Amino acid sequence: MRWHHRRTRFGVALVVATSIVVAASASIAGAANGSSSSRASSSLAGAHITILADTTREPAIKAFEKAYPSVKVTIETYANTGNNGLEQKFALYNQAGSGWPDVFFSNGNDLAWASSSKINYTANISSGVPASLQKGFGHNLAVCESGGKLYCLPNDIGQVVLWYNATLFKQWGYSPPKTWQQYESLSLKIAKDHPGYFTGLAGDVNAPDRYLWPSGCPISTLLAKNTVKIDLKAPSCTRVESLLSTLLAAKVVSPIGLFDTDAPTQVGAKLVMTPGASWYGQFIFQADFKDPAHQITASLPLHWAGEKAGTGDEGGGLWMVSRHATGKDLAAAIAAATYVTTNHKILTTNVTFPAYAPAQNAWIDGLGKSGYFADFPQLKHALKTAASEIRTDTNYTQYIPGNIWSQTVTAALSGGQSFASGWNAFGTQLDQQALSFGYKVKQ
Amino acid sequence: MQLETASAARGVTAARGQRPRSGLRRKMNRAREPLSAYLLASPYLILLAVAGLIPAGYALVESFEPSSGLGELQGHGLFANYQRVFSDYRFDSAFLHVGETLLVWLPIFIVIVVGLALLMHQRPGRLSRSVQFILYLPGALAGIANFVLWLFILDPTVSPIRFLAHGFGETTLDQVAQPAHLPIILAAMLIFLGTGTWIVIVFGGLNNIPDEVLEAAMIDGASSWQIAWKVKLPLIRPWIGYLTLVNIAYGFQLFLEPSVLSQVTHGIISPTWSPNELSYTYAYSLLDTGGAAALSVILLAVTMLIGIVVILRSNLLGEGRS
Amino acid sequence: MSAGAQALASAETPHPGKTRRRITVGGVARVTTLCVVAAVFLFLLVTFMLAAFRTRQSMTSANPLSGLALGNLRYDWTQIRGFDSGLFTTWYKNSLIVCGGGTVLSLLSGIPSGYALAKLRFPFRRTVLMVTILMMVIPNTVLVIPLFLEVEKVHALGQLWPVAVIFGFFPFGTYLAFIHFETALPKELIEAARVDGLSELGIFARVALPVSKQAVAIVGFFAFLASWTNYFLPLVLLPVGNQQTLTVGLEQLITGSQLYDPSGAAGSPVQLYMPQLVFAAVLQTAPLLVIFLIAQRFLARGTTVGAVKQ
Repeated sequence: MRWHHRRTRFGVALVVATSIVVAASASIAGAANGSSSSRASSSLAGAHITILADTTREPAIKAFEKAYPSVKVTIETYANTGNNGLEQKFALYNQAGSGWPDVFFSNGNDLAWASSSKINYTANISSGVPASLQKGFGHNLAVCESGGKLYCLPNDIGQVVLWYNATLFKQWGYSPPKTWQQYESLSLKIAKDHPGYFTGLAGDVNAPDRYLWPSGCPISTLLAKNTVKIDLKAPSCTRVESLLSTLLAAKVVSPIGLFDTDAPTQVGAKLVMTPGASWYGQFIFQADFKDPAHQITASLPLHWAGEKAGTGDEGGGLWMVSRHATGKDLAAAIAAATYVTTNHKILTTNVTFPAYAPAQNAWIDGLGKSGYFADFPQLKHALKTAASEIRTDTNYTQYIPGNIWSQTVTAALSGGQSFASGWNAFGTQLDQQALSFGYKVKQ
Repeated sequence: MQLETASAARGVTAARGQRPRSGLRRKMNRAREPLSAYLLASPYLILLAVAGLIPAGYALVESFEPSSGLGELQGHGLFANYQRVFSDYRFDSAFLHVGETLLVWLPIFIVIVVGLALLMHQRPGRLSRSVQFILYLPGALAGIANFVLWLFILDPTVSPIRFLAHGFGETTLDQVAQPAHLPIILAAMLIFLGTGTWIVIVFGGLNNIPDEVLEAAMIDGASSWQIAWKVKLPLIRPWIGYLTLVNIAYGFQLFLEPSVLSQVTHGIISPTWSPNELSYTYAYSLLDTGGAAALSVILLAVTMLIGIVVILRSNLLGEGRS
Repeated sequence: MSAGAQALASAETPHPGKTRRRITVGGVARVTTLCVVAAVFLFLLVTFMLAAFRTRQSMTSANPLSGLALGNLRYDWTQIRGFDSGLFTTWYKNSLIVCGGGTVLSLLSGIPSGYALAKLRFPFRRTVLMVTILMMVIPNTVLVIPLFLEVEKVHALGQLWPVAVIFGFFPFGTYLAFIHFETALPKELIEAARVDGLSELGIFARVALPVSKQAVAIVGFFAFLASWTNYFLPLVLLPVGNQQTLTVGLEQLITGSQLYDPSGAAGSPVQLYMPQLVFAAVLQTAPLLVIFLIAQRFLARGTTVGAVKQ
């Protein structure tokens, strides 16, 4: 039973997004791919591909259709994917020996099973995608690479920065922390001086991405295709354990989750700062918490004192191509995946931060046009820098640490048990679930 | 659902009372009888095979077939799949959850059903009939609709009885639907759904008590409470036994309620909470058909055992009576 | 099921009750208990139904009557229908197909087999009866994964017909028909027909079928009820969105609603909150109510079954 936040949250509120980003796109439109695509298009005449994606991806796919009029495209969308919905579908296609979509949009966790030996859906597209474009993804491409092969193209990233309320910071005379150690001491200071305010949330599926990933805590580090490193006793984990334990005890990190129905009322405007993904600005602060304009901004991701910079990634969609596709269809499928992940016009109107580096500046500028954020130059710098600092030692696996976190830590916190008991259960269950999916577990 | 209906039939059988044993049959036509009988029963027998016996048998076979791609967990020998699911860390807890739920649910359920049936039987007038009718209504909401109703009742942000949750300091669904609370929540759902039906069955048992017995007790000067406690209750013991056994079997099939609760509470409730959910995970998430089959066979064996006890101890066959 | 059962129960109210009506402590306690329990049940049902007539905003009030308006139903419906471009009606159609098909099959298989078990002698009769009852007592969901393995084997996952066929296997229907013919069809009638030279099949068609209206109504009612509320089987056998049935669809509405997935569903073109979910649940149960009304005429007659006691 997969927890679909991971998938759907990128797709949030197209409405919000268009109003924010759309302005930026017009000038760049089509410049990159315009001429080349129409040439490629003619050689793909007669191709017919099926694309399976969530509803948020529809405009991007329609744009591809327009740019490649000779390719016939069938769009299949999925809305809700609870209950292993997608995996079920693919098990079914395998069993029927037909029905696979040629292109499939989803997330890293789904890539894990889609590229597993059992479902075995993804094609190696390393030779199909122009090297120059591949280079544009920088190390964001790592998510899709395995054993020298390329199994997908990343759509967007959720690089973690430090979001904070600049108005409150100014009022209280604080400056944003640079290290996790400073984050802890400032949080404790806020707990003391301004009780009732929060500097983070710990009760949602993304918490491990925000807190454990930046620290390099091994909870899903792939050593080989079927060997995973899990070691909650590692210093990179225990320091986060002690951080969260302290801040939860001080009641300055909230035990509830970011996506909880009552997060806007219980935390909402009382959230002074939090580590969080690039999409928090619009979706959490603006749309969900409805914080007033000109208050929220972000600074560089926190790092552990004395260590080099490194941050986490809260989700990110990606495009896979079917290994069952052949000939023109395969070429068209690769063209589609490439187009939607590298086309400036699409990327800059997307609601989430592009994984493709050449489009990133334009995307951030679009964000600035909304006029919602405070101190935009700093926000821009933070997002841009963080985008290149995502650590690659946390990988997507078939077991989902975020879901395990919900069942253990979140359950313990909302059930009035200690964080420690939840943390211990988290460790045990990580091992057990990894084993149950057939991974070898190393410490 | 089917179980409840089955039990309704049980009440029905009971209500049939004594039937004269069949006498002589004409000898003519005897030869053609079995053939015609099989002809008439064939659609059912085919379905029985296709939807009952074959899948059960197939699961049994499959449960001994090795599964592939499970790394170190593969195991060896004929019982590899069984070993794997037995040693699965979720196996014990899934059955434990069912046990806990039964422990909370059944005693309350039995007291409510038997108590109300006795109260109604004491004076089966208009009041009893209307109450009985009201208690049936939730039967129409069986399944997912009943779940929506309870979501409405449990979620403190929309509930009409949110003061209860607030009294415990709970303001969100996640706080109400804690794993530790699940047995109580499921008990409430199942009691609401099943009370009406099962009262009828127990009522059928009460109606089966010969009038002379009750009259004799009344002549002896017993109060209606004494009659209920000392005469009626012992006489309907078989019905209570039946109710208990069938509902124990029912407890092993829980799937819908914990599964959807897991989703609406952002995964706080484990998606492998019940045995059926675990076997679903084996089938669709781990893609381990051997393990899924082994789990199904275990569940099937447990419930079949209960089923056999039910059959042996009741007269569902209709001919077992002396 | 409850309805049929109720009919059975209320059909017989012979009771050696006391005729004097004195107000006693016990009597007051009894009436109070019954009224309180009934009130609790009614309260839950009524506040639930009323929620469909309320607005999302009014749900913040604990008062179950706040925000009531008939027009809200129309809004509920547009939201439900808008979910994933009208999938709700597709689910409805699928449910009607598989449950309707299943019910017809359960009648075609249940009535003749019940007759054969009750009135004809043949080898393994007792075994068939025994297996039928065993299948009836085993919760049907424990067979779902084995059924999945079987349907997968014949490459029919994601198709509606296997679900209808499996719904058509309804041992309880066979058992009900068995009881019906055993009690409602006098042996003498059959014997007489045999003397008249009717074949066994002829007897079933001309003697048994005409008196099986009751059985058809009851078996059909219970079969439809059982398949209509089944969740696990369609979930497992119909993994693709537009092939799913209403029970699984309703679960998707719930988990895809803003109420339980505020961030994920924020981009959804429809607004699904508690009133809409309640209305969807009520719409889902509507066919059961219709079937209930149709079957009630037969059920209320006390059914053969209830009538036999005396």
